[in-house]
Amino acid sequence: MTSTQPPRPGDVIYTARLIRTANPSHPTATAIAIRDGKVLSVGTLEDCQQWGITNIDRQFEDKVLTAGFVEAHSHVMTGMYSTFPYVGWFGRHMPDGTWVDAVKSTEELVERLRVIASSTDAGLPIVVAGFDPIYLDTDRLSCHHLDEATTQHPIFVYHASGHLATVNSYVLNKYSIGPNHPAPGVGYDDAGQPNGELREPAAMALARDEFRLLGRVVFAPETLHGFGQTMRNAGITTATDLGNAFHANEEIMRNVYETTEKDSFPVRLASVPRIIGGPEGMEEMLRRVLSSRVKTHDKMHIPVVKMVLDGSIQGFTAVINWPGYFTGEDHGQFLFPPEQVVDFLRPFHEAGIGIHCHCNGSTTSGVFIDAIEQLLRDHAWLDHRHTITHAQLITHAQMRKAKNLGMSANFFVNHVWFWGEQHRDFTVGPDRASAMNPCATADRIGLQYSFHTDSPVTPAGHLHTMWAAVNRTTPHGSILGSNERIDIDRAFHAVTIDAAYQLHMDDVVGSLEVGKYADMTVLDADPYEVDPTSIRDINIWGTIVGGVTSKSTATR
Amino acid sequence: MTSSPRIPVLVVGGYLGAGKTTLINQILQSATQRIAVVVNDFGSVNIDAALIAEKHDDTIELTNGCICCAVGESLADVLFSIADRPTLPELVIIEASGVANPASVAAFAHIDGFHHLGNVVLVDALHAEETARDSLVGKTFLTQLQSADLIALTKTDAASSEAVKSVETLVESIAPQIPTLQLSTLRLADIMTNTSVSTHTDTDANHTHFSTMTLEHVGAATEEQLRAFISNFPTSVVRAKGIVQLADGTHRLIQKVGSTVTISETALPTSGLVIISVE
Repeated sequence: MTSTQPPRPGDVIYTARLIRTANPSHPTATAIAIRDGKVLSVGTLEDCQQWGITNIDRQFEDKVLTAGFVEAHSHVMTGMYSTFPYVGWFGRHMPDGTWVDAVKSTEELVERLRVIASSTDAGLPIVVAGFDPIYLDTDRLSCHHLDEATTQHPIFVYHASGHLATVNSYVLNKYSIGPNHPAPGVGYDDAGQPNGELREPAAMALARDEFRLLGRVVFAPETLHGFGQTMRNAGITTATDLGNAFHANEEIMRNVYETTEKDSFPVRLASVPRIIGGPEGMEEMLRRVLSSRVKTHDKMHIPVVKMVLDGSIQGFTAVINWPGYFTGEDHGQFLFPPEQVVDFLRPFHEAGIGIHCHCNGSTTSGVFIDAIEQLLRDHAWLDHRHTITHAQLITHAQMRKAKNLGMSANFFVNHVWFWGEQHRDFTVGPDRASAMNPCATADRIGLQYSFHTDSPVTPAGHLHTMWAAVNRTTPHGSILGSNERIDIDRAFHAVTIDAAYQLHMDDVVGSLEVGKYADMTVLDADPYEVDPTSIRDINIWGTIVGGVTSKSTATR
Repeated sequence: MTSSPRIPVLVVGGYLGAGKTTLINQILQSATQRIAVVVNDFGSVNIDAALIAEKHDDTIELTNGCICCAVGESLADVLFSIADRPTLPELVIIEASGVANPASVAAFAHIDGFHHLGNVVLVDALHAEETARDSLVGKTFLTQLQSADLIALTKTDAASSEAVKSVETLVESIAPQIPTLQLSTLRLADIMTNTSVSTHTDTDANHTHFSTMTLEHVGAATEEQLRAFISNFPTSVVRAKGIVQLADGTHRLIQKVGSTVTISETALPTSGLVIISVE
């Protein structure tokens, strides 16, 4: 049969070696018809042709198309490398796709800085980011190394951890940072002289002008643009900026609406406001969120809000249950009074806005789950999907309760690879490290979940999160929590339809179903077919967002 | 080198319900100097409408020259913007959130243009023991007290004298070296906003004498003289802190906690010496 609807300009059918739809009732296909940026039909070429479309694009005939990957927890700061040169230990793609080689020694860093200084007017600041000294076996970076690069410019090296910066003597002199400075966080050498280290933002802020550049970059149009490019190159079609203050400023908000609407912005943005201040300010914040939503469009959504309840496990600032940390001092820090969490969240819950709450520790996961239970007792909302994001140390009892309450978890499964050995040996010990990000148990219990990269904390891209969840291997070849491994089909759904569900966006993204946005990730190989240990190595061609192809600019 | 005068910064901490907002409101209503108050919770500040000169998204300007700023995303940014104002405040008071460690907040008080005066931690006499025992926030409460330069018990008028005594014992056991006093909010506000005048003394109902004094100039030519001067303070001086200049033009950071005196060289400019005594 043939549809009686006339074809329209722009109608297109893409054929592919394989299409993975993330729609269990029709999991694979070989052709997809697109009209008005939406899926018109997905099946065989013959199925698609029944809509009378003659424009058949065969450029992906040897590719694998999947339902577009959805990243439910990343940050626009990913795009800061559009502004600040990257100087990390792992080579990395910049937002524009150029490859930057690793910085493997202090000397290499100094050389990079020298080159930058040679083309920078004297006195202008040089800010670089992503420096990661954990793996360096050369001397600990100090102001003296940086002085070798230039004494005519302030240098500010922002480390990958986000907890440390190293500055040169120009900066120390500029802000009178000398011996016995009263600010905690200023580092000294054995002779009591400042060594250029500024620990934590409070000390980094001593380097006022340079630190301010870093703080402002999140609002720069280039940063948002760089975020979009990075996400596209990583195969992401819907990317979340989880926890921003954009809604507080109309001019910034206007830039976000306009930038994301352009064809040159290659990803759908889920912009998520962050809860700050006190409970009395929540009605006002709710009002702003609702009024910001009025101006959203197909490529810009404000689906949920975010609260941050504690710190990180590797920073010993996550709040965790007995018996506490395995080694190191417990610096567990609530960011909101536990007894007030309900008051903060109530206006959003009652207005029907989903809540994603950052809980790294088991204690904070419990506090959030209890708060949601209270909200549900007071105000019924069966489809809230409130999400524990990170949920790394969530207990089985907490997962059962969260499941019964209709909640969801967004696991930071990349930790198994990036910090799993540290968690096993230092932060929480073997029992809890092997039970971190417990995907298989969540399946046994029936708790809905997704994965995230928290980019730029770990590099954007879901091939890596799927690989981590399927293999749970560590850099030295151990398997951390073999009973928490899941299969590729489960992992694929976690990064597509299940992530969309948490964002209340599963009606428009997350799977290839008729009527939803035609968003796809274009891969050179099928994650289901390759050896599970090489899922993360699959080459990403690029993406299709709303039917528009966007090739990765990654040059390597 | 930065040579402009640095604005003193006081941090007000304490667990939820300890009376921080009440104190902040009191300070703003009765201020006789230009104070910038940085609040965690903009929504709860309830300033008399007649006092409000201008209201922006994140700042309220008062007719008495004070301003009230919301801390927002970044405390550093708020302090930077305060330092950028055409008219600088004479004092900055930062309200820490109910679960914040005042020391972590105070860490920001050293950025260019500011110096740290101290941390005042308020303790709700009615609920302190309950909070200290709480399985979730007991540790937070302890950390807050231990980072105080001065602890002030609040709501003592609503508690029995036995209850107050019991809370005093509790506070003493957690933070034995920190001066603790009971004061009405009104009096505390008065003391806190007068720390930069030459001397000020206040007395509460229980006859605890508390005073703060700032010495703008310390007449010590050498470090030895300075040490002798500080060591000769009466035992009632429980806390002294500040930066002074010696005859050779170098600067010394002085910290006196109880009987321990630390003097170290610093590149920072003179801030004067703040002395807290309790009798």
